Amino acid sequence: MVLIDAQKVNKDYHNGEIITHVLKNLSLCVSEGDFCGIVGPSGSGKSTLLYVLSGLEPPTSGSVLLTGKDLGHVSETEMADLRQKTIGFVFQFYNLIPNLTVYENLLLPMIIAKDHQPKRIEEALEAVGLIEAMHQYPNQLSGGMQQRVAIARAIINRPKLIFADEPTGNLDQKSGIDVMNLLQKLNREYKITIILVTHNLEHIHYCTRKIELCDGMIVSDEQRTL
Amino acid sequence: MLATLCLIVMFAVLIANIPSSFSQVFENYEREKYLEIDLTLTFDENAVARLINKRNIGVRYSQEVKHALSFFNLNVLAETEESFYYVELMSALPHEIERLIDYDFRYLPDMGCAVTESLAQTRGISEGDQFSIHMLDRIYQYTVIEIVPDKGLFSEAKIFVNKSQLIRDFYGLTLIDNIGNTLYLDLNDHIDPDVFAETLMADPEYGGYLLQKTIDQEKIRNLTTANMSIIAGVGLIITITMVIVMHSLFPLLTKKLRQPYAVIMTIGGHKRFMFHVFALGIGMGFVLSSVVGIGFAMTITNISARAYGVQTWITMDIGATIMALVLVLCYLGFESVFQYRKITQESIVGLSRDLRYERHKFSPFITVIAGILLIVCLLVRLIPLGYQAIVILVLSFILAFQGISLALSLLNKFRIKPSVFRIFSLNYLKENRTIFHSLQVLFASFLVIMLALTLHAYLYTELDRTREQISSDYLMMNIFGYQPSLKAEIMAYDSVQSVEEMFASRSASVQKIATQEEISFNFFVSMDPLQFVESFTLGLKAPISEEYLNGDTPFILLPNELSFILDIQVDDAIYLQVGEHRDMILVKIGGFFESTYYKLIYSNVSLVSEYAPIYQTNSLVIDAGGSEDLFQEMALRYGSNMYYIIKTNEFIDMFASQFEVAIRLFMVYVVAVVASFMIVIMNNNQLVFQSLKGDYAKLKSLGMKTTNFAANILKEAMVLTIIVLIFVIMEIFVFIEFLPKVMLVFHYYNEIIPRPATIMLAAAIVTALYLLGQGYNLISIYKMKIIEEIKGE
Repeated sequence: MVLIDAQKVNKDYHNGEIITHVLKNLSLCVSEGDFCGIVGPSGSGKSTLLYVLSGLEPPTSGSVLLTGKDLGHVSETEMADLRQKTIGFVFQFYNLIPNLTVYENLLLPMIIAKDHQPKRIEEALEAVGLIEAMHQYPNQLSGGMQQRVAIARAIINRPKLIFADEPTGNLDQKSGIDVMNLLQKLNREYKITIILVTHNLEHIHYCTRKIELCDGMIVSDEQRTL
Repeated sequence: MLATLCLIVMFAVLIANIPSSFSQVFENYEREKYLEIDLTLTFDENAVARLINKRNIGVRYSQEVKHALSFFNLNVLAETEESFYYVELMSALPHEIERLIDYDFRYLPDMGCAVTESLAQTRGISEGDQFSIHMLDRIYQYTVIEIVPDKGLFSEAKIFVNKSQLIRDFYGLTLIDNIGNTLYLDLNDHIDPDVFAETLMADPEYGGYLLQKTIDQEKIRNLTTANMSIIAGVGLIITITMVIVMHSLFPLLTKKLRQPYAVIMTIGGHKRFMFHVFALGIGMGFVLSSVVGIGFAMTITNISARAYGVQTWITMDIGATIMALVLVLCYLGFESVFQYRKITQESIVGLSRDLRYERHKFSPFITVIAGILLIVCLLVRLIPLGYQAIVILVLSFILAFQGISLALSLLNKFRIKPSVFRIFSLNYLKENRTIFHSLQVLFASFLVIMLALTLHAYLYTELDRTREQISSDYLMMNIFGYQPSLKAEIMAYDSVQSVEEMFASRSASVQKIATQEEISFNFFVSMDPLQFVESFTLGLKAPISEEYLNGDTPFILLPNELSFILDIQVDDAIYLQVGEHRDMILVKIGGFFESTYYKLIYSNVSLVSEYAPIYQTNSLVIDAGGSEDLFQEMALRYGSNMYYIIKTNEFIDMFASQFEVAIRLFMVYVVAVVASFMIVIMNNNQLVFQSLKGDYAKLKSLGMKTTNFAANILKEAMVLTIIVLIFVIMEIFVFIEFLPKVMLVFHYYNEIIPRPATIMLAAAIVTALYLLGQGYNLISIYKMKIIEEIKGE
C-alpha cells in the first residue's frame, strides 16, 4: 500500500529577488513498511523534501498524497488529524518541551489526539529503554536519551509513518547507533514506515531503501536488502 | 523592546518635567491674558475708595511705569431679545483697550460697543444689533459696532464701550481720562514688578487699593503644586510599572545572549566581550529611544498646553530631562549588569543545553518580610505620612506580586482531568518568569488605567457633586450698607422660602501657629453655622460642638484635606486672615467638611461680638424653591444698586472655569497614559507569545488544532484575568486609603476614590486588550510555520 505519492514536486524559496529552486520536478512513492533513507550532499534538498512530504511545508507546485489525502487540499483540521494519528516527527534537536517531564512530554500527544491511555507511555518508554527516566526533565538527560524520548513521543499514538530529520546529527557515534537500532526496531517490529534524512551514509545500512538527492533531484532510488 | 523603551523614556521625561511644564503653562496662560501688563490696581470690599486716579502714577513713577491704562470695569445686567444675563463691561479710551489687548478697534461712536466673539456666539449677537445694559435705574442702548476675536483680557462674556460717555453718565464728571476703577500697569523692562509693587503699596494714595501681580510666582507655584499632586499618585504607579516593564524585558533580551556567550567563552573569549556588545546595543537603543521619547513628551506637553488655552510653546526643562534620562540609563545599566552576571555565573555547557525558560518561584521570605513591614507601617508612624504612604503602597505592590506568584504556583495543585491546559498551560503558568512579569505589568497597567480614568471621572463628577451640595438658588452679592429691611423685602417675594445673611470674601487664608504654614482659599463665608451647614451641604466629618454653636468663641470650619496637610485637629487654634487688609485673628477649629474644588472655608466671625463690626453682611443666600423667574425680577430691581444677583450654580461655575481648564490639561495626560499602557499590555502579550511560540510550534507539530489552541488560550486568559482582578481589587482598597496621603508629599490632599463604574471600565479595557492580544496570538499560531519555529529554537 502506497503511503506517500509525490508527483512533479517543485519547491522554490524566495529571498528578495533571488529564487532558489530547492526541489525540481521530483516524483516519489513510499510504500507501507519502507524504511527510506534520504541522502545527499548539503543543500541537495533532503530536509526540504521531508518537510514537503510531511506537510510541514507546501510544495510550490506538484502534488503530495499522504495516505491518499492530497496535502495541497487538506484543511488545517485534517492536517492536524494526520499529525495526531498517522504521522510522527523526530527532529535533530529533539524538540521536547523543556519544562515538562518525560512522562508529560509523552502524555501531551495522547491528550491532543483525545486518546488518553497512560499505559502506552510505559510501553513506549520500555520500547526506547528509558522507563527509569519517566519523571525527569529533558535537560537532565543526555542528547541520545532525549532523542529516544522524542522517538517514544513520535510513536505514542501508533502512527503509520515517522519522519526523522537527521535524528543522529546531534549525537555521538554510540548514541547515533542506538537511535538507528531503535528506528530499525520500530520499522521491523511495529511495522512503522520511516522516512529518514541523514548525511551519514553508514546509517543507510539500516534502511530498506536508499534515495539519493543531488541539486533537488533524485539521482538514485534503490531498494536494499539487509 | 525599542517601543517600550521609548515609552519608558517618554514617561520619565514627562514625569520629571511636570513641575516645569505646569509652571510654564500657568505662567504663559497669565502672560497671554495680560500681555504686556505687569500689575493691576483695583478695589475690593476693603478698599478705601472705588475710583482710582492714575495721574500721579504718571508723575511720580514715570521712570518705572511705561503705560498706565485706566479702565472703568463693571459687572452689569445685559439684555438682548428679552434674555437677561451678566456681562463684564470694560470701558476705557480706545487707545487704552487697543494697547491692553494689542488689537486695532474700529471707531466706536458714543453709543457704540464692541463685543467679544464668544459672547456674540453664545448670545447670537451680530454687528448692528442693539444691546441693552441696565445700570443705575437706566437702560443704556448700545449698537454693536464690532465683534472682536477673544484676545487677552477681552475674552468670554465682555463688552467694550468708550469710557468718556459712561463716566459722564455715571458720575456726571468730564475730563475723566485719568479716572477708572482698575489700572493696568505696564512697567519698563528693567523694573522688577515685586519691588515696584512694594513701592506702590507704600504710597499713601495707592496703598489702600488691591494690587495684584499679573504673573504671581507664588500663585503659579501653588497652582502647579495642587495640579501636580493630583497626578502624583498616577505618576508613582507609572514609575513602578515602568520599572516592572523594564525588569521583565531584560531576561528576554539576555536569553538571546546565552548561546553566543557560550560560544565566545568556548573559543577563549573574555566574558566582557559579549557584555560590550550587549551594552552597545542597549546604549544605541537608549539614544534612539531618548530622541523619540523626548519628542513624544514634548508633543504631549504642548497638546495639553493648547487644551488649556496656552499657545506659547512649552519647552522641556533641561536639568529635569537630563535627570530623567540619567535615571533611566542608570536603571538600564543596573539591569544589564545584573542580568549579564546571571549568565556569567552559569556553566558554558548549561548555557548551551538548558532550554527551559527562566523560572520564578513564590518567595515566603519576601512575603513575610513585606508583610511585617506593612503591618509596622500601618500601626506606627515612622516617617512623614506622605512618604510612609508611598512605602505602604510599594509594600502592598510587593505583597500583591507575591500573592499572584502564590496563586500561580497553586494552580496546578488542582487535580483536574489531564488536558493540554492541565499539562502544558498550568505547568508554565506556575513558574515561567515571563508570565509572572507579564501579570505584574497587567496588574500595574490596570491600576494606572483605572487611576487615569478615576481622575477623569473625578474631575467631571466633582462639578456636579458641588452643584448638588449647594441647596440655595441665588446669592445676592456686593451689598453695601446692608440693612435688615433688604432681607424683609426679598422675603416678601412669593417663591422665596428663606433668606440668610452672610459675609463673603473672595480671599482668605489660614496659618498654622507652630509652623506658620499658610494655605489660601478662594471663598470665605461667615453666617449662622447651622444655616451654613444647611445651605452648603458639605458633609461635616463630625457635628460642631455645642460649645461653639452656643458660645461667642470665633471658630472656623475647614476642608478635610487641611487636617492632613497641616496635621491639625478639632479644637486646635489657627490664624485666619480674610482679605489682605484685615488683621489676622486667632480662631478655634470647629470641624472639618468634605473638600470642594472651589476652596471654601467658613467661620462664625460675623456673629462674634468682637468681630461683627468688621465682618458685616455683604451678601444674602436666597432659597427660592427652585424658581427661575425670580432672577430677572431681582436683577432688574437691585441692578440699580449694583447688587449682583447670581444663580448659585453660575457662581460655583465661576470657580469651576479654572477647574475645567485644568481638566482639559489633565485629559491629554490621561489619554496619553491610557494609550501608552494599552500599548504596554499589547506589547507585553507579544513578549509572552514570543517566549512560548517555540512550544506552540511543537504542540502544532503534534497535531493540536487551532480550535484547541483557542480554547486553551481562552482558559489561560480567564484564569490570569481572575487572578489579576482579585489582587487589583485588594490593591484598590489600599489605594483608596493611602493614595490621597501620597499627595501630602506635595503638600496637598485630595480623596480621589475610584468608583465601581470606573473600576469596571478599567477592567473592561484591560480584559478586552488582553483578549485582543491573545486573539492576535491565536492568528499568529494559525499562520505559524512549524519548521521555521522549530529550527529557530
